Amino acid sequence: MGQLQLWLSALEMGCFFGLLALAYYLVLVGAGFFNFAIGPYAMVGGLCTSYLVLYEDMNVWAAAAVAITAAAALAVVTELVVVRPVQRRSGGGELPALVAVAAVLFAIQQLGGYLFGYTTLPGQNLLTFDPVTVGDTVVQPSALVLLAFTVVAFAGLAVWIRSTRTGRLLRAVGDSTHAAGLLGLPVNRVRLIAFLLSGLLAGITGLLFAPKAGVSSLSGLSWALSGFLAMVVGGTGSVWAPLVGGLLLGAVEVFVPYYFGGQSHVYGLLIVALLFFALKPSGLFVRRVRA
Amino acid sequence: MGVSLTSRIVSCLALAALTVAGCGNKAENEKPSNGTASGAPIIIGLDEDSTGSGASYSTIAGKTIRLAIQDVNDKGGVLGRPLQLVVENDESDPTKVPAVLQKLAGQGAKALFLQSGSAAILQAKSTLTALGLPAIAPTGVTATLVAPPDNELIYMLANTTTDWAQVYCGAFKAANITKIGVLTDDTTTIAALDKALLPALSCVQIVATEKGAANASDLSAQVARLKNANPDAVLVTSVGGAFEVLAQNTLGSQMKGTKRFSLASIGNQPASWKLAAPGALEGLIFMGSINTANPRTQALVTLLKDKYGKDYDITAYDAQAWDSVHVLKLAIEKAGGVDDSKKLNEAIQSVKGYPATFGQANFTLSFGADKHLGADGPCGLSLIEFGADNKPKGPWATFQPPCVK
Amino acid sequence: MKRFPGSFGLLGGVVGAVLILLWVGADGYKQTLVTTTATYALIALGMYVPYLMAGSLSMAYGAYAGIGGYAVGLISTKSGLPLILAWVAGPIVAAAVAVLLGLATRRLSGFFLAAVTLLFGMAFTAWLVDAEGISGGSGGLGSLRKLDILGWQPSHYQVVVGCTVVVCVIAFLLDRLRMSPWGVIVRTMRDAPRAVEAAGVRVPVMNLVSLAIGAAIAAVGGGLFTYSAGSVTPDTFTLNLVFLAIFMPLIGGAATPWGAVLGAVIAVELTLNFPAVETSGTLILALGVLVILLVAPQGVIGYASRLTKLVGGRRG
Repeated sequence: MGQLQLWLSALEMGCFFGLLALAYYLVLVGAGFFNFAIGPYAMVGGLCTSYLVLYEDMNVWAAAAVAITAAAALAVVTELVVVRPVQRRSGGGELPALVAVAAVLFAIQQLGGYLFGYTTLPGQNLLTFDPVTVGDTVVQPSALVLLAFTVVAFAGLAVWIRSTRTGRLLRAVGDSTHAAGLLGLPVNRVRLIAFLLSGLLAGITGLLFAPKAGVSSLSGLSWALSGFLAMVVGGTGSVWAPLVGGLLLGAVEVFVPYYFGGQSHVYGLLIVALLFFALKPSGLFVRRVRA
Repeated sequence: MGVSLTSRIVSCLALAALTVAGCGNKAENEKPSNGTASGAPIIIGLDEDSTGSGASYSTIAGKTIRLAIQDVNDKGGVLGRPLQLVVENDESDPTKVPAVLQKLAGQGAKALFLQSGSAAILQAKSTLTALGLPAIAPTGVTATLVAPPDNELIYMLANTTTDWAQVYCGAFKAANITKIGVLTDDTTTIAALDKALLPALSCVQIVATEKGAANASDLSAQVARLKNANPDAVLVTSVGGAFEVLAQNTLGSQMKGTKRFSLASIGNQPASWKLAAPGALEGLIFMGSINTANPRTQALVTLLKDKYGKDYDITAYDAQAWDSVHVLKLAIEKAGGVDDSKKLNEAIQSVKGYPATFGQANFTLSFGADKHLGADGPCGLSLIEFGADNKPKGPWATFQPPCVK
Repeated sequence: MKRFPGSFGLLGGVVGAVLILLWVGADGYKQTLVTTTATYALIALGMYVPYLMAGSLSMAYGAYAGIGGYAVGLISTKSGLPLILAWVAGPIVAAAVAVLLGLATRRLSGFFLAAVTLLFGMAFTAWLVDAEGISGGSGGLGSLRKLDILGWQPSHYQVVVGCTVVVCVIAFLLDRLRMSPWGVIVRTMRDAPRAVEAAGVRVPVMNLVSLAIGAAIAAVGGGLFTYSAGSVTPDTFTLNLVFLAIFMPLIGGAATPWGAVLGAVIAVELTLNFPAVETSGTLILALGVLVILLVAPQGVIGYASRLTKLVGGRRG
């Protein structure tokens, strides 16, 4: 009886984690880089919308448009102003980029709090219709919208990567930036598109998930961690891998506390991370690269 | 060339951001003026978390502390002298607390209001002892804040968890509830509160206790476990905010029909009510402190509505902030000044029978050497029920705490 | 004339420390600023060895500082042992935990390591709240004893002086370590681990040693803070502090450990003692770090030394 509700919750959390992981995936494939600022972009998407609706009396759709644009703009700024110069200077080293992205994460978090306040704001629903009853459980509209967006986003990106020139370039550049540069491919443009898309995706995701538990300026860090874990668990073998990772993580988030109670999910996440990173750091789905 | 362009962009961005950050200080932090009082100012320190995790409730009380001080000054001040507020922000970060308190003391503060997260206030206790300054934590409800060690100088107003247990037990008895389930968050504040409250609920059997992270996005697992334990009612203990609302949303849909109780926080956070799904709070009973039959509450409501508009919802935080300022005013008058902080501390302890702005009409606050908690008896509390519009409907008809000690 | 290595940094550090101590005087607020700065500096110095020398970013430093803090709390409240032992026990336990965590994460680096250590820090806080019998639960430990070293009880000012001395000594030792053969190997390991491995050095062991040293230093800092503040709770050392500690060496200059100390001074100054921006010191700090990363990657000390070279070069 209660079980169905749990599966629905796991599905909702899984879609959320999966979408964040997809945003990671885009930047990772396109720019070979884990963009931890994905979480804060999503936070901006949610928090900015709520702020504009509640305090500036804006229409929900207009506010959402502004917030998503802001999230995408932040992503573009991250690439142009921070990641690109830092990577160029440090060559292949991972650490400077990691520190830079930590600074970006911290700065967006502080800026979000400064601009939109430090309190948790309620998420805004883009569509309002009556909750749907499945068996003896109720599914909120926001969950359905998130679910629908997940399907659209994943299917859309899968098609885009497979059948457009830019999509194929994305993989080519990600596989070997150096070689792509030598071949005269537009490396910088492709990277920028990857960041832009991931920012858009994260912004929308944050906005759609916010109605579930509200959003505050500090939500970004834990969202960033969850999305990262989901992406690592899924791997980069296919566009759909982040979704699988997200769903698995969603199930952990819901069923570990169900069977072990209380704080166990904190320990659970640590164990999942240790196990996966140690045993299968490339995730469940690995792309076979021809040698 | 590319590098210099980048650095130019960066400098511009940085400059813009710094301008925003430097000049954009929000207008709500206006300082109270001296009003009609003319003597040498009495400096009071306020440690207010205005940007950290405790900002959501600290700023409500901080605003009313300023309002109360303005009101006192407009009416001639204390002993003819105006109260002057110095404010520092600790961001609820315990490592910053000692420096913040020292800084307030360095600016001449003779008494302090601690309006921050409870981890920060706990960290403050030992510094207070070192400074020798008395302090009031206006909205504190955690008994450990005023319990030893280092509690000689710290005071709270509201009923603590011991009284709450008594009220809940009365309510459970009246509603024929024998088994309850508890859903709790993982914050320091609530862990300390649970430790005091749950053992005192000996009148019922606690069949399950489930904990979730304060920033959880999903609580369906915890609620499913509660449901399996089949309690007659569920008690949610949390600092409020998103966790409380998520808990109530989930309980409302998964355990429809089971009576729900909560602590005070949800009633004090009008902003959180909007977070709840339509009708999700209906029937929820919380431990309120605002009783509109209290004439002093009515007077404060009038004042607040004059200042902030008709839609302002008064909370216990407003009333407790107001009373904190007035208790301190009384103590300063009794001590004849603020130069001797030991005497001031004793003067706070000699405040007896102060009629409070929250609680029922005859509810009073008294302090003493062993009584660092002002509330006299449980009638500072009343059980309030939420209506279908997700707003408090009024006192719960089934049970109200009696006003005897 | 052959110069004593590290003396230049030490000279700067000591002059700075003396100036700070003169500025502080008997003012309680300024004294507390110094102990807070010393704590931040020690956590940043603790991160220095693994992060800037060995090139692996661990974010579990809140937990290590917490271990140092709880060592002081536990020895003070639950035993009759001399309190000074806390600064022996705390760093040892922290180093042991760091080694265990280092073993569990030995194949990780970069983003993976940062994520796992971040989760470890969160789990440690959760454990402190749960383990009521040991840690005093969410209320933490308070009412600590005063130090008593063979009958000598230092005053608050002497503790402040002690804090600055400890910071200077550790920064100096780290500076020496950085320039020692061991330090050169560790730093090469960051840039070319395979070459170092091929030269017969066991990279994993070196990594563990650097993690252990870092954790021990952070534990000293946590202990100092707990002692001077008089209590410790599970939330005393927050994630915010860990983020700040990553940025401090960048602000001051990553080339020498003294940069981390200077960064700590600037961070505390900006978030606690800068009246104009009291509501958003942390925001300015975060934006400042971004700017420094982009336009001034060498930090304050890097620029200062370039300036002195320029001046010196002209003279010569």
